[in-house]
Amino acid sequence: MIRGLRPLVGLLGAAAIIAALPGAAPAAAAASQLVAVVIDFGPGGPAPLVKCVDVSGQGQVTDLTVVNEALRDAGDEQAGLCSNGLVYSLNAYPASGIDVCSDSSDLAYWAFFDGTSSGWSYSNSGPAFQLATPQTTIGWRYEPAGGATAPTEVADPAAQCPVAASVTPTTAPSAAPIAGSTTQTTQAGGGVALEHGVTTTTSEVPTKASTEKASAHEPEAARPPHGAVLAHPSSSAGGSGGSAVPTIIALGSFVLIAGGTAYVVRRRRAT
Amino acid sequence: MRRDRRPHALAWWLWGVGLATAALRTTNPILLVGLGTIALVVGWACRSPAPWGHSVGVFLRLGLIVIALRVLLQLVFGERLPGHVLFTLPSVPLPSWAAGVSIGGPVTVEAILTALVGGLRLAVVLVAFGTVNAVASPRELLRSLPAMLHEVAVAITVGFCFVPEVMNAMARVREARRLRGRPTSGLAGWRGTAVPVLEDALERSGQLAASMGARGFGRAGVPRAPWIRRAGLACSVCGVIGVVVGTYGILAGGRSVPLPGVLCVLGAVLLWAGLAAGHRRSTRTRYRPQPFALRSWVTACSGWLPVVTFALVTASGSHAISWTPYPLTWPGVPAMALVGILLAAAPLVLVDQSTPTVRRQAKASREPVRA
Repeated sequence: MIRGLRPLVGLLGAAAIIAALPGAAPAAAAASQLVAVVIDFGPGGPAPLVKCVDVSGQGQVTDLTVVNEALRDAGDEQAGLCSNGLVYSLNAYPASGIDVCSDSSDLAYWAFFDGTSSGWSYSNSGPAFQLATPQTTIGWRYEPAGGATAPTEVADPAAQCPVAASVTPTTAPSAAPIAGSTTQTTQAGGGVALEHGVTTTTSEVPTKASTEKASAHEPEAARPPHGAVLAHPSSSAGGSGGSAVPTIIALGSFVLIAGGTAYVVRRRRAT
Repeated sequence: MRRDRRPHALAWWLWGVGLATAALRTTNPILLVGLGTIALVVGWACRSPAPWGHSVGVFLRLGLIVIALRVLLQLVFGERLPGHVLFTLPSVPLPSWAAGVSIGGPVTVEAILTALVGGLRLAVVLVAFGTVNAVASPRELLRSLPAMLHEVAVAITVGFCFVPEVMNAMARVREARRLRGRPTSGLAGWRGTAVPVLEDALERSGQLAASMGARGFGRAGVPRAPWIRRAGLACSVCGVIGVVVGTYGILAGGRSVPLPGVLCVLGAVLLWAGLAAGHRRSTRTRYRPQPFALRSWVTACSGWLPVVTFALVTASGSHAISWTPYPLTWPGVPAMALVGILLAAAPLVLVDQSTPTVRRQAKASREPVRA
């Protein structure tokens, strides 16, 4: 497993170190440091996914790092990128996956938006080239036929991550910040540990699921944050992906056939 | 009898085009390494004793240069996508409108792997081409061209004979430089060799074409009725368009072109019909025609097995033919694709690679071959 062996390097590694410092992460989890991530799966897709990622104390991180963190929190490994850098899947959607990369005629893509309190704007640069700004929203929408419709979710980061308005940093020290990749121990009001999965698919859209909407618009402060702290020790999804065994078998068979041929041909030519 | 020991030259070309197509259809590095290995092994084991038998090595070197260049460009100018940073090059800040291009910056494992795989695809195509040139005799191929193509024989001859003639010319020019005590290797050697080699090879290909012309290729035969010729012309133009679009569809994949295979075959049939109708009828005999026997069929088909198995794997719903380093995982190796690649080595078993006569011939044919 490449993931298990390689040393931690780069931004994520630095983030992990910062997070591991006792007390650093929770204390710095100031409300103003949240970036909202909205993933709208487009027409025919599942309900939109909303995540709040805390970038406090991270220095400069790109939007893509934040999105990957949100995806990890949702159970995906990271955004699927083609070799040329195009995003082909978010949260394992769409199912056609990597095949889109080799299909130049397919217009489907993930449209990328910057969201502020004044609304969505189509981004002119990619998420890997854009630094994450706290109190903004990163918006994605899957466009099966091209186009650039803004996500149906609200763009306002304060609406997506109400923690910003309501929660004061808790004084209770976090016991295990490293283990906090899937549970958020600090920011929720009252210090309740929350399973992140519970809160991922609220619907802010007036046209959708009015029952859900009703529950979502109960007292805002009581609404749990869709949270992820940008502080990943290493990929928690290390178990996914291929194993090295097929690679070794394949390479072994190539070496075998090359060596065998070399031996046979040499002997024949010598005689 | 001796003549069908080796597959037909056309069969070798079909085999090589199959391998190259497979290489262009996949981004899985393991499958690419497999295709490259098979091409190299077959090229080395079955190579012709003639001077162009060395073209595998030349194309292998060319392929390695392509890979190195690709990685270098990626390191210096590539996109800086996030990943596992190996080291950081000193960087130059660029204005915001130059997003997507960079000069220097962090170098990630993912970026290097992307460049390696991209280079590897081209390298495999080059090696497959080199192998075909090493194993198939260009003259045999020309001899077996259908009579209707004789009118365009000059162009085809120059096309097919260029690589073999480059190999011949390189041997000659290097020998000449060695005799004069000039350097034959390294940068200095290349500087003195490149231009004469290219010039010589083109000239010789042209000479061969001219000598073929003198022997009756391209001779104007009995003209056909004008309407037949016009219909033939229309047919062949449509056929060429069909073949080109179909080939693009096969290589580009996805839904860019509906039914690319059917389009390709239809185009080929139209092209054949057009050429058959349009060419001036002339009667020629063939000297010792080489049969396209079982050996040739197996060779030609085995080269397309990787493409077929890749398509089957994709059709079965697996994404393993494509691979990107984002996220960084081991590439999967579908068993069927692996079998397809290994079976593409079938010519190894079919072709009698050895016989001491080959070595004697190799010595004898070092002299420039003339048409």
